[in-house]
Amino acid sequence: MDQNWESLIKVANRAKEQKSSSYTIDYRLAEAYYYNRNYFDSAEEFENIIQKYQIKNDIILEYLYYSYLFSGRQQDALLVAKEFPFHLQQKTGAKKVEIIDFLSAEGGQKLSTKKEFGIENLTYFNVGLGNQFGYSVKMQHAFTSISQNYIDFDYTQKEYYTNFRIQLAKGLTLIPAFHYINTNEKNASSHENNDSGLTDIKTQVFYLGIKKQWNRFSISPNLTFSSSKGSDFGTTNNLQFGIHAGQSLKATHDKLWIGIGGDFINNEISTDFVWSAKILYSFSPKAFLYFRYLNANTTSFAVEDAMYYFNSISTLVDNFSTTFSYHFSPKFSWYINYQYENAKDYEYNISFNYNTIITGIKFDL
Amino acid sequence: MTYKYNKNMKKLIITSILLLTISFIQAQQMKLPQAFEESYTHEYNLEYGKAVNVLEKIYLSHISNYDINLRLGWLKNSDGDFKNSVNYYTKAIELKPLSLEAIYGKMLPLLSQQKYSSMLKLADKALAIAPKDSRAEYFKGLAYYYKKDYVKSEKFLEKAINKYPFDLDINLMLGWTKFALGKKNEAKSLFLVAQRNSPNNHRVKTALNVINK
Repeated sequence: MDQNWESLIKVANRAKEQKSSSYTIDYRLAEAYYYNRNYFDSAEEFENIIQKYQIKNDIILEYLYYSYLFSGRQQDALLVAKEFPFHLQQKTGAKKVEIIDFLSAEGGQKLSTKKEFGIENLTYFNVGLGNQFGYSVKMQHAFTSISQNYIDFDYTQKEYYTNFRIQLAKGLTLIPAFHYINTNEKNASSHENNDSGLTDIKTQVFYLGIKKQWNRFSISPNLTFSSSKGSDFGTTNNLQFGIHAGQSLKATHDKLWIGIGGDFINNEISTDFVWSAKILYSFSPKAFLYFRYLNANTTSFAVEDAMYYFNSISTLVDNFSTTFSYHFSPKFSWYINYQYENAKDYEYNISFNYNTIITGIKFDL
Repeated sequence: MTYKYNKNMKKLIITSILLLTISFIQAQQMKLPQAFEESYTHEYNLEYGKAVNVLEKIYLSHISNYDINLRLGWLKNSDGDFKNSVNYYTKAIELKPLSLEAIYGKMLPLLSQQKYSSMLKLADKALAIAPKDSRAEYFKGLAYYYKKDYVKSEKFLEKAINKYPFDLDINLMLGWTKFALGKKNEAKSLFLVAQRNSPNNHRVKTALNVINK
C-alpha cells in the first residue's frame, strides 16, 4: 500500500512538471502525500488546490486540518477549523473557545556536584494552564517555585510566566510574553552581622517574537527586555536580540527536526552571545526525543520565548538537555527531562555541575 | 457571352458555398453523438480533461445545444473547474429555463465554491418551477446549514424529509441540523434511520460516533 502512494506521488509530480496536471491529479497527489504521512507536503498541496480551483469542500478542509495538526502546526489547523461546518467541528473536536485548553504540572531537582562548598540541590516545581480565545489566539500561564541553599544564601523564587500566540495568518505567529520573577535571598551569615540579611529582587522580562513558517522551514526573530530591581543593588537592565531557525527533514519522513539559534545579550557592562542547537526525533506519533545544547558563558538571559530566565548567581557555561515524551492518549502525555549543566562561580572561583531531572504531565482538555 | 458566363459562375460559387456549409453542418452534427460517446469513455476512465476536450472541440458549432452545455457543466465540475461548470450550467438553464436537472447540476459547483446565497436563489427558481420539490427543499436546507442558519435549515429539511423519510442525505443533514440546535435525541433518531438505510456508510458511522460520545 505504501509503495502505491509513493508511485502515485511520482506519477502525479511528473504530470505537474509537464504541466499536464488537473484537479483529479492534484487532489490524488495531495491525498497520496497525506496517506504517505508527508503532512507538510499534503498541507501545501491542499492549500494549492484551494487557491487554484477556488474550492473549499468538507473533505479538503478536513484533510488540510489534519495535515497541519500532524505536522505540528496546531494554530494553522485552528485557522482551518474556523471555516468548518458544524458536523466537522463535532467530528474533529475543534473548538472556538477553550477556557482551559490544557493543564500541566512538572517538578524536579537540580543535583549539585559541589555540596561541600554549600551549593545544595535545587528544588523546582511548576504548574501551567492554557486558554484558547477564538481560532487565532492561545494563551499560556505558568507558576514556578524554586528554592536552594547556595553557599551563604538561602533563596526562594516565585515566578509567573504568560505568553500569547496570535496567529496573524497561516504560518505567521506573533508571540508576546511576560515573565515576572520574585527572588528572596537570605544571607545565612546575617545573624552574625546583626542585620536582616534579606534581599528582595524583582525581575520583569518582556518578550516579543514573531515566527514565520514556510512549509518545513521556520524562522523566529525576537527581542527581549529584562529589568531586575534589587533592594540593595538598584536596577539592572538587559536587552536581548535573537534569531532562531528550524527545519524538518523530508528525507527522514519528517521524523527529524533540527534547529539552531543565537542571541546577543547586552547590558551596561558587556555584550554576550548565547547560542543553541536542537534536535527533535519522533519515534512515532506518540513518542519523541528532544535534545538541546545551549552554550552561554553568561547569566541573566531568556530562552524558549522567555519561558525560562537564567538568573542564577553562578554563570551558566553550557547545558545539555534531553527530553523524552510519550502520549498515553491524545489527551494525556508524560515527559521526563535530564540536563547536564556546567556552571562557574567567578566570585569563589569554582566550577561545578548540576544534574537535573524533571518530570511532568500534561492534560489536553 | 461574358455576362452569361459571369452569371453562371456566380450561381456556381453560391451553390458551392451552400453545399459546403450544409455538408459542414451535417459533418458537425454527425460528430456530436460520436463526441458524446468518446467523452463517456474518457469519463469512465476518470480522464475528465479528455472528456471535456472532445466536446469543447465542437462546442462553438453547437453553442445553442442544451445537451452539450449540460454535459460540459457536469464534466467541468468533475474536473474541478467549478467556475466554468457554473458557466455551462447557466447556459443550459438559459436554453431550457424549466430544466430542473440543469438547476440541480449547477448546485454542486456552487456548493464546492461555498456560494450558498447563489444556491438559495437557484433553489427558489426550482421551487417556482416545481413547488414543494424535495430536492429544492433539500438544497435550501443544505445552504442554510452551511450558512449556520440552523432554524431555517431545519424548516426546509423537515419539508424534504416528509416526502422522503428514508433518504440517507436528508436524514443525515437534518440530524446534524437538529444536533446544532441542541435537539440531540431527535438528531440521534435521524442518524439511526440513516444507519438502517446504509449500515456501512462512513458518514453515518461518524455521525453516530460523535453523537454517542
